[in-house]
Amino acid sequence: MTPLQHYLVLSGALFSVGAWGVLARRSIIMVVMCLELMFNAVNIALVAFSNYANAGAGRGEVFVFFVLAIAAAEVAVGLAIGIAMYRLREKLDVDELDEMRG
Amino acid sequence: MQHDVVAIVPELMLVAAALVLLLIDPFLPAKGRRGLSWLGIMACLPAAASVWLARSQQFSTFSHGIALDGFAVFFKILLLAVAALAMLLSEKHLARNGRLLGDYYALVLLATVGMMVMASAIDLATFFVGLELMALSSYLLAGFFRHQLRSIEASLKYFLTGSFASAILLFGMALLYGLTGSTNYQQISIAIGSGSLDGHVIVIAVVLLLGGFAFKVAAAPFHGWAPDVYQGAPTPAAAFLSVGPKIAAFAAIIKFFTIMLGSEQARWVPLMIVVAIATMLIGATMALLQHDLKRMLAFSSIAHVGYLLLALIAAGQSHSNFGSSAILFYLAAYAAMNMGAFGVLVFLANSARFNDSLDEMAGLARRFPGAAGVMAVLMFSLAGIPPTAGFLAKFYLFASVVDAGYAWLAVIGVLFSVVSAFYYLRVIVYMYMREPEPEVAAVMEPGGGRSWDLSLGLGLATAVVIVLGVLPAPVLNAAQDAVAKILGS
Repeated sequence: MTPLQHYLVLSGALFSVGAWGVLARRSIIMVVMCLELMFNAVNIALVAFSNYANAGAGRGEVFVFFVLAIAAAEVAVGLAIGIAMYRLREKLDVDELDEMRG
Repeated sequence: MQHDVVAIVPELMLVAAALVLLLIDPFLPAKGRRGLSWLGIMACLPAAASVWLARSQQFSTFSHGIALDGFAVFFKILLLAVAALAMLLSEKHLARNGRLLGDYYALVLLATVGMMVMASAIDLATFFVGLELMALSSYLLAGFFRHQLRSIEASLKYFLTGSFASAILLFGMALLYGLTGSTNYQQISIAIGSGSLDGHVIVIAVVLLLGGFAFKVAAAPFHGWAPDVYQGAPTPAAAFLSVGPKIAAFAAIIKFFTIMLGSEQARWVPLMIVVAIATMLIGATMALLQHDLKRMLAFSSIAHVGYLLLALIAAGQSHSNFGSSAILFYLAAYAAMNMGAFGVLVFLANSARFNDSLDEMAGLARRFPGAAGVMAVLMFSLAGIPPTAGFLAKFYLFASVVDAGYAWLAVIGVLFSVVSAFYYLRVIVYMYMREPEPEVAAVMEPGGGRSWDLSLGLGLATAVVIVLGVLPAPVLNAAQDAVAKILGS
């Protein structure tokens, strides 16, 4: 059986890639995709923990279902806000968010 | 603890009202939407009543995922009051901006349901669902004026930072689950208390949780979104967003840090001290530099979060309930005074061509004596001057910090609160002692002006601020009682 650490390294790496993407990418679409990557990285960790847990096995999988549904809702809201932004600005660039400063 | 669906009856009532609002809204003519807010407000009353009736017992449901205990009762009633006040403040402002829709009230109600779930969750999964329900509704509320670039920009910034924070928080929760093998708060608390877990992983989990929560309550160094969001969001929505999510997040923070990680306080208290001092420093100094009142209130609310984190340190350090009950009382006072202050801005934006700038407050006392008087009371309270709620809240809070053996932290907190008095009192000086510049004088528009709902909301907020300042005993006792009953202990 693959040791737990391997899954956690994969999860941590995906989470870091996602976090880097959220901070560095400019297109809102890419940022939303990177957010998804972060959520799914956590899902991998949760399933792995659930599989290796002595007590409370299965709780992690249940948690993952909630996270999946919420991540879908999150994308829907994010894209809706993106569309509203595009209608006003004709651009989907995070760097365009400079109306307010202070 | 009884296992019964009674535990989520108040949430079900709000969800039902939100669905009714969404369903009937398209069939109403534009004028028929007047008074729709009362449907939402009226849903909060039976919900609060059902919470109140259940106060002496404890109920849980969803296989111990959510519990209506004494702690949840305090927070639910507070959150319902905040939601009702937010809806009272909104109608006229929405109508003037051409966005008087039932959706707004439905979003406020759904966000409130999310907050109530956060306050009463006793399982990581239900907590996360509540958190996201609150967060997603909040992003949409911030962008509700979707034809205004500022509102959409606020919404997008809130979405990007908020979702990032949710993911970080989620990773922290996954680590807690991996460490302890359970998602139940009580079992996690027992497992961590046993002291047999890997200390390094606990530190990583603490850092992730602290980072995620710092984003959610706008604590340094993750406070950057708050001024932009409050400035860009519709003002009544900003009133709600500056209070509701913070109350819910602090309910969760108390459970996470003083209950679950209570035995590991040596690991998180030093970190929290740094975060609290940095938060107060940034909040108090940046608020001095602001000329936009909404941004000033945003930075001032960051400073208030800093004080609340001080009480959290006290709650983690000493084994008395003093720190936690000080947080609860402070949240109640903060809710009334902060929403009231935003409410005055809503009133001014409704009755004049008002752009939320400090210069426009000059000479306000002559043109709008009522609004100026209310604003003066609220500013005194935010500054912490007796006999207002803000003074007593700060007094209890700093007393709890001293009681926990952190007298030096309390001194720092008091110093920052002296600095903060400057920018609150500056508003009063502008209103009462300055003549307005002719070109910036806010002009009364015909047809603008009074809204019965808004005046009622402002009156209630001011009354609460004064009553809490003179007669704090009932709320303070309720707060102490609530903390004593946390997690059925």
